Amino acid sequence: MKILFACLIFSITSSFAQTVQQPQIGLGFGWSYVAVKTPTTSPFTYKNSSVPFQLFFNNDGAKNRHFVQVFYQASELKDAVGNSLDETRGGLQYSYHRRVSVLKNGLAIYGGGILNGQASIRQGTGVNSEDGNVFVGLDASVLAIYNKNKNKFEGQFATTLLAYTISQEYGLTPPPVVNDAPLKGESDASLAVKLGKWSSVGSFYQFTLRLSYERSLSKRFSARADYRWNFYKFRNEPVFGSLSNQLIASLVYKFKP
Amino acid sequence: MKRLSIICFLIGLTGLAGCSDMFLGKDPANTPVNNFESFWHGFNNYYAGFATRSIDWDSVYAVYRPQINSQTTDAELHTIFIDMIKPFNDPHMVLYAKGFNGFSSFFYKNHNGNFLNFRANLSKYLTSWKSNGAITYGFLNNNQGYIFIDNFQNPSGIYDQIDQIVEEFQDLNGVIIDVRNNGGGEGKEAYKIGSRFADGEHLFEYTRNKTGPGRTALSDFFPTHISPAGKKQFTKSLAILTNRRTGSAAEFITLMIRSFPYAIHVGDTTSGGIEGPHTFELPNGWTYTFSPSVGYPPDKTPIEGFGIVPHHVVTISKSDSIAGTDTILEKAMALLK
Repeated sequence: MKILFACLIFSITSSFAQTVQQPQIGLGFGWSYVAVKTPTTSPFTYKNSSVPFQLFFNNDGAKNRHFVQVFYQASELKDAVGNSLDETRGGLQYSYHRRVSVLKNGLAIYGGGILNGQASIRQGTGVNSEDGNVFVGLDASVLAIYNKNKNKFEGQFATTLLAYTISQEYGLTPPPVVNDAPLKGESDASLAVKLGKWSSVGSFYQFTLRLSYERSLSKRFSARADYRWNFYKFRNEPVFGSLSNQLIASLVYKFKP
Repeated sequence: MKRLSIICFLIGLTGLAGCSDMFLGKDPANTPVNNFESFWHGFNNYYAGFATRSIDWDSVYAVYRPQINSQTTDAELHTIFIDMIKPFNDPHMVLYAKGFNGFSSFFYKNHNGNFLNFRANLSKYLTSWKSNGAITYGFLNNNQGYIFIDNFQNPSGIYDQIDQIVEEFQDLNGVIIDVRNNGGGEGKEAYKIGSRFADGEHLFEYTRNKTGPGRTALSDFFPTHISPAGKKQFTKSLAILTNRRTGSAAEFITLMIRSFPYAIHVGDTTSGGIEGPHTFELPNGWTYTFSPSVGYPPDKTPIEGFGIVPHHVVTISKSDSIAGTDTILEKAMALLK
């Protein structure tokens, strides 16, 4: 694992040393449709739409691409019989892609990886019906970028290879190792480290599909639309599945015209 | 062509947005049989309290499943569910059905209240007292302090007042903590109070969590300790008062105080539901609660379904109750002298 991270850091630092850089930052909001299911506590899928927000930074070089994104959304999810669940979801990801080839029509193909962290905290209306999941995954990703005049199209598919996941135990309670800790006021961050475990596709999997369109408006600004489809599932008890669709419009500022 | 592409793209997105059934599974049909199966299996898979109760859940299935068919009404189903959970005697086991009153499998009315009108008690026994809603404290006339904790469900800051109370009580000979009629709340608030009376680390509870489906899949006994916290602690004579309505987090603090060598426990047995409940939902939208964990005192005798038996069992007779005599409080005051 240490070697993996060392390689990742080396590749990041070396790629930033490239001469051609196109850093830009974007801020946006849009529409999201979220569906979650925890069969342990309810047979229903809870779903609804909400407004997601995103902030991103990307830096495209001649052959390398860095992308950092933060998103947040809060939703009041409903089930088929009208019971509700308040869900707050946030995510942070860093991705690095390296160009693999350029096709004759100008379509550039990139391969890379994503460090992808996401948290979903849920509060139902019943007694002790708060619940949540957190994961930080290392994803394999394929990215295609097509530039034409002022337009840029991107398509990306990613799937998690390995993740550090935090979830409740089978009995819906924290594992005994933290029995004392919350009583003694131990911090959530410290607890999270104790609660987590390494998971591979056998116990956790995630797929993400992203389609983006960006159009340059001026030397400094461009408009961008992102559609992001994300599905992840904790397969061990308590099973939890999440499906989200985000459509976000962003205004992008280019540091170098 | 351009428009057609955009329309196809939007249709594609709509399709992806609407495919939650494909990825997460369909919602179950709301039928009496599905509701019964979900209810029975919910207990079978997640209820930890079978460990301390001699209830044959398979026999319950054999008795009640044949009574369910597609014509079973909501009222009939509700009655059957109540009959199924009545024997558990579990304060955290509650059925909430739309159109019906909530039903708890624990019957407080079956027990002596052992708690007098609280306001009357204050003026009769306390020379002076203050209250913040959740905590009422004052001075008894024999150099003892009295703290009544109504619940552990208020905002956390309310319970921070314990530091001021402990400061004021430093010169007293003993303190009586009254958690009668306290139905519980947040365990960490009970811990906050308990920690101000600890002289060191003490084992006070073991927990076993549900670890898999089936009724015997439980974790090992895992210990929980109480340690001193706050600016000052009161570690002289202590008494904790309980009755049958002392439940959940109030039983939690009862075990904490009992773990101190300088503490006694006076009153009636507690309700017997120490570990916190979780909520589960049925295909018809009804919800029910129970705990997927079980708690034990340090000697590992069962509490769930039985309660914690005081060191000094005292009840308030009907005549004492009419006369306004709190025999439980008076016994504790006498024992602390």
